[in-house]
Amino acid sequence: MSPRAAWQLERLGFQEVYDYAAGKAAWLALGLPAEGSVRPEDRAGAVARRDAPTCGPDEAVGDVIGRLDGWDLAVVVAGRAAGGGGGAAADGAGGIVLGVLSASRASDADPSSPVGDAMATAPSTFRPSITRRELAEWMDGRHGASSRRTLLTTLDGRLVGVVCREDL
Amino acid sequence: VPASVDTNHLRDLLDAGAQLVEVLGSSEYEQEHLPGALNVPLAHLDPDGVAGLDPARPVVVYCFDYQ
Repeated sequence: MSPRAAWQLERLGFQEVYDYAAGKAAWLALGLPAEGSVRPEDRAGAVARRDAPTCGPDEAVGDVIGRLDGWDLAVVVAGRAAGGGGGAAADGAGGIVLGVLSASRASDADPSSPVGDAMATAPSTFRPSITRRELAEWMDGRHGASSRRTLLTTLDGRLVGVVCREDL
Repeated sequence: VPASVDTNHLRDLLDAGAQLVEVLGSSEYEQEHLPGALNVPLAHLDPDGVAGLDPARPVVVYCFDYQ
């Protein structure tokens, strides 16, 4: 839509026209400020749990089970040391999300096998800017399979946190 | 040919005084828009619709995403 708008403005005599093609979605996903009726606390990023356990793909499944600490999943990420808390970098985001190791998959796997062999590799992810209402609709299955947990990531795929349906 | 800009370039343009226009509909604009953006829906991009813009100053348009 915005390329058409840019062309139209040129036709109308505007001399210097630019197209911010990535648009509002990219701006909001970067956590930049916005104006309007949607409040910051209406966004899913406000309720993301940033203490979900994380692990690397080469860790042993048995080692990860030992530190789930009540969670029913661990987020498998690259580019971080093993441990919990998402491995947050200075900007608050963690490693690149590779997949999810559910507790049920972990319990069925050989404890000595690598997490990378047992994880689900294609979890749905959302940006922190999605509204809590929109995300609740997705998690309730109105657009496909339902889920109780989902991941928030940055535009470049780094972990922000886990959202639990009951928090929306 | 209109140039495509990324977020960093956009911020530079805004700091330099560029006009910013969201071309989505008014309800989407009212929910959330970039700071300082004006709303001129695509269907209203005609001489009357852009009367509030200065053709001699840079202008940046945006919608929701690449679509």
